[in-house]
This record gives sequence, C-alpha cells and structure tokens, in this order.
Amino acid sequence: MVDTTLSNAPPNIIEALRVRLERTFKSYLFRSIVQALFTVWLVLTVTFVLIRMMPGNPVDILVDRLVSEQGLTREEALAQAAAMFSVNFNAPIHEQYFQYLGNLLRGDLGISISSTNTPVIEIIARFLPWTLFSVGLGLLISFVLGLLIGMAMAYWRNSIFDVAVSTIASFLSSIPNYLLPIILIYLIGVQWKLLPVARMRGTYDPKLTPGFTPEFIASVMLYAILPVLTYVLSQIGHWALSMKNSTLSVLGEEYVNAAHARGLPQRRILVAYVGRNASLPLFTQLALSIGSVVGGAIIIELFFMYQGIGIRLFEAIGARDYPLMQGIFLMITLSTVLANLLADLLYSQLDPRVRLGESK
Amino acid sequence: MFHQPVLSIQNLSVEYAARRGKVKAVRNVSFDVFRGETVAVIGESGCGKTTLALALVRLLPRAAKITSGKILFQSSDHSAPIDVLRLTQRQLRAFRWRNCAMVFQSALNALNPVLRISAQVQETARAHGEHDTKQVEERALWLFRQVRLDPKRVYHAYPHELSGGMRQRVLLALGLLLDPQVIILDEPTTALDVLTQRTIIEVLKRLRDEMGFALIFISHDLSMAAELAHRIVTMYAGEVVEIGQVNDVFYRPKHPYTLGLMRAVPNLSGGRAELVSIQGSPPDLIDLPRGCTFAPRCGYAQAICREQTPLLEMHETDHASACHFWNQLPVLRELPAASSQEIGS
Repeated sequence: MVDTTLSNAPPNIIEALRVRLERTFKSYLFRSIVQALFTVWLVLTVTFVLIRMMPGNPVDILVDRLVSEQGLTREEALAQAAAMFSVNFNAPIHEQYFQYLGNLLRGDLGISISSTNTPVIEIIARFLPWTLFSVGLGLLISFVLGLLIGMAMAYWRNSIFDVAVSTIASFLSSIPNYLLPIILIYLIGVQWKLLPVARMRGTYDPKLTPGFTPEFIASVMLYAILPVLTYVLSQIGHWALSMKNSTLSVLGEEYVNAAHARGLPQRRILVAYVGRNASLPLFTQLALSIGSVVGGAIIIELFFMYQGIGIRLFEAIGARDYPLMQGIFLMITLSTVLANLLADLLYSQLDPRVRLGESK
Repeated sequence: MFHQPVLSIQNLSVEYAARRGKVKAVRNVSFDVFRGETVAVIGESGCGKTTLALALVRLLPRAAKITSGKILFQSSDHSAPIDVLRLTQRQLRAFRWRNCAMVFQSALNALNPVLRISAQVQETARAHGEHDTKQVEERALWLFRQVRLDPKRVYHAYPHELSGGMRQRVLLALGLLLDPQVIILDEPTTALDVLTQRTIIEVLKRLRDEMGFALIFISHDLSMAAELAHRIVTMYAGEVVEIGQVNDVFYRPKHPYTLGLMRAVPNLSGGRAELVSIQGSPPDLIDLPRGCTFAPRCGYAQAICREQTPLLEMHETDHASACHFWNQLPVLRELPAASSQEIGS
C-alpha cells in the first residue's frame, strides 16, 4: 500500500508541472512575448552584421575618413571608431558580437560623431518621446475617427454621406505623404493664417520651462497640431474605408439579426455587436501600420521642423553619424515591436477566439 | 384542444425589390396559430418560409416590404390584441423575444463570438426589464439543464467553445428565457447530425408540453414535422397551398405539391422504388404564371389549371387546399384511428 502511494506521487507532481508548463507555453501572452523578443534579437544581429561585417561597412568608412581628414594613423582611427561604437574592433568577431549585445543591454549605444561626446542614448531619450507622442496621437485620432466614420458610412450606405465621405477618403489616402505638409503649411499658415507656422519650430514654445503646467501642455499641443493633423489626414481615409467594409460584412452576420430578434437596444447592438466585431480585423492592421508611420515621420518632422527623432535621423544620415543612425534604427524597431506586442495583447483581450489554450 | 389563436396571420404579402422587378416572396398568407399548438411550415427552398418567419417579428431585410396584411398577437392575459405591423420601434423591441422569440437557421453564427453566453443571457433579460442578475442566471441554468447542457460550463463559455448542437440548444434555452408565448424555429436542426436532431426534438416536445408555448417551425424535414407538429402548412411559390391536421395532410394530401413532397421522402417501410421527385423547378416569383402556380410541374394539371387560379378552400374539417382536383388525389395511407383521436381531442 505504502509503496503504491509513493510511486504514484512523483508522476502526479511531474504531470501537474507538465500541464502547468504546457499551459504557459500555449498561452497567448507567452507566445507573443517570445515572438517579440525573437524579432528584437534578429534586428540587433542584422544591424551588427550590416555595420561591422558587410564590405564597405560604416566602421571601415569612418576609419578611412578619420585617416584622410584628420591625418590620424590607422590604429588611432580604429581606436577612436571603437570608442564611438563602444566595441573593440581588435577582438575576435564573436567577442565583438557579445560585447555589442552587452552594451545594448546596458543602454550603451556608443557616442554620436556629429554632436561630439554626446552618448547616442541621450539624444534618443531626448527626441524619441516627441515622435512617439505625435505619431501615437495621430494614429489614435485617425483610428478612432476612422472607425466611427466607417461605421456611419456602412449604416447609411449609398447615402450622400457615404458617397461624399468615400470620395474624400479615397482622395486623402491617395495624396503622397510629402505633399500633405506642404498643402497644410500653405493653407493653414499662409492662406488662412490660423497658426504662426514660421515661428513654430520645435516641440514647444522655447520660452516655457517643461513641466506639468497648463501653459506648457497647451504649447505642446499647439506645436503638435500640424504633424498630428498630417498623420490623421494621411491615415483616416484608410481606416474609414476598411471599417466600412468590415462593418458591412458584420451587418450581414446572423448574430446581428439575432440580436435584433432578442429585442436588444439599438445602442447595445451598435457597440457590442457591430462595432466590436467589425473593428477586430482593424486592430491587426493597426499593429502593422505603426512601423510604417514611424518610418514616415522623417519627412513630416522635417517639413514642420518638429524636433523628433525623424529630424535627428535625417541629420545623422547627412553627417554620416553611424553610431547615432544605428541607435535610432534600433529604437524605431524596438518601438515598433513593442507597439505590435501591445496591439497583439489588446487584440487578444478583444477577441476571445485567439486566446487559445488559456483556460479560466 | 386549441381554441384561442395566439397569433393570427391575415392576408400577409411580402415583396422584395430586385433589379428585375418585385419578387413576390409571400402572397396572401393567412392562418392562425393556437395557444400551445405546434405548426410546421413546409415547402422547398425559396418558397417563402423564411421570409414569412422573419415577417412575423419584422426582421425582414431592407429590400423587403410588407405590402398587405395583418399580424395579430393575442396575449394570454386577455389584453387587447397587438397588431405587430403597427408597433413602433420601441414597442417592437419589447414585443420581440418577450412575446415572440425566434431561433435562427444558422445557430452556429447566431451568437456574438466576443461575448460569453452569460453576457448574452443577461443583456437579453436586461433589455426586457429583468435586472435581477441572480434570478436570471438561475433561470438560464435551469433552462440549460432542460435542454441537456452542462449548465455551469455552458453559462461561462464563449460561443466558439461550444459545438454546433450545443449552440443550437443554447439558443433554444435563450429563446425560452422570458417565457414567450410563441417561439419560431427556422430550420432548427438542418445543420445538425441525426443524434443531436433527436435530442432537440425530444427536448422541444417536452418543453412545449410543460411550458405551453406555441411553436411555429419552418422546415423541409418532413419526418420532423410529422413528429412535432399538430398542424401542417404547405407553402408553394409564396402561397399557402394546403393546411390541415398533421395526419390528414400527410396521409391524405389534398394538394399535388404536398403529395409530391411526401413521395420525395424515403421512409423505412416504403422501398426505394417509390421515391419520386417533383419535376421542374419553382416558378419565377417576379413573373408568375397565370392560373395555378404549380400547374407546370403538376401531373394532375388540366386546361382549367392554366387559366383559373384555385383558391384555398376548406374541403374537410380543418383541412384546406388550393387545387381544382383535390378530390382526385390518391390516399397515401388510411388514417390510423388512435392518432387521429389524439390530435382531434
């Protein structure tokens, strides 16, 4: 008797552990995070390869430049480049790789070439938040407005509203995003004189000290209006048209009809039945579009002289500031991956069907 | 047995606007459904069954229009009859489900995929003024047990976690949540396997007898109709062509279309050789032929059928049909004495 209970106990514990582990591995959260981590690692590695190992890579170019322009010896130039990239170029390649990864983990992205002796991470910490703020706000506004407009178009399909909005939406989404800032500056700044465009350079009024004061927040909003408006205008048509199609297909679903048959209030059907189900596919698109919008920030920030990471990247490219470029690329990738992860998790909260293997 | 009509359909016509013209999907349909009675509406696809069902709770798509008729609902509390077609949106919302529930054809898709069953039960109750969540939950759990579901598990599940048969039964339970006087089932078992169909039929029979709701079910499954229904309504090309007690209609049909339907269904006693399908296809509902709409497909048709439209006339007690030659149709089987008593009593 005693023997059987003893021999039974371990398999039970192992079995319980196995079930527990299996549940964790199958859980949506776990898989999403692993996927995100893998993407980040892949990007880091590819960046390393591009910068260090490709023929004609930035390090070699930098070394050549230091030798020819400042008359340094090859060793001195290599040492300076190593300091800027925070990597010892004399070490074997795999050691360089681990050194590089270790530096990144500590937040050491090297030192900017163009703004002397400023660590890359400082530049990023100063400018990236503004880009994330303006892009995020623009995306959020265009997404929410687009959803509402799209639903309204589906409800009043073939009405004047639908036709008019469809036309405008197609028109807006067909304008290249480098034209929109020019049109906006011309109309808002020059023709209607609504905003002092010429004086609005930067992310807030330089006379104010940053802080949670009403004046400062108002200034931040004012300076962000044009870039945000550009993001909204370039995105909203796409969201509205997608939402219209999605809503139309959901309106044909039996559960919407059944909800009417059950006598549910119109508002409840609109929100919990039509709206929620129709917006699901758009959340996937939102995750995808985050990357492209951040990438598109360069042109838009340049037009409005909005001091975000896009302008820094543009300058870094002009000055061949490779450590800074590398840092910015990494940060853009990281933000995109992170935003994707967030969108993914949000999606799993909205659609119970993707929460596979996760039991209550 | 059944005296008071709970639902009275009078001269109902429904048209769909199509590019080619008006599709006359339901034409001058009249019949009563009595309290506690089960009526089966049979007919092939496209005969207007589903349109009729949707019209009863005014859930027709935008393209459809009710061109004439009346639908009267007489509640058991002897209040004034409700004219369903004249209800305002607000009144209609209250009427639906509380008085007349409808279980949809595609049960697989009739529940909101992103809400738990519990949420869908509670919102339905709340929409009709039942705010005691505890009591609603108990009622739902009781109903789930009645339809042979594991109540706790199903109540907290999402629709995708349930099988098709389970979802169908959830809908049935949801339909009974507010104790309606009429419940409409549109092809309740088409998507289900035979065993699940059996369960549903058994459950329906028992609940109907216990709760006393009237049942209208739309089906092309004649065996199910025979088993459940007290009366049969045969529809053809949007019209009622025959109506009567189940055994009268099935054993001694008075319309060649019903006869054709009977002969097209295999049964265990009859051999394969007896199966005959109905020739041709239903008429174009936009451009209807003159005379009897079934004449082009009818083996009994004569010159008069192509000229004169037969009216739905009562030929025997409780048995009406729209055919010029109703008395020339063969008797399929003699009426068994026992069951005629059961129905007639």
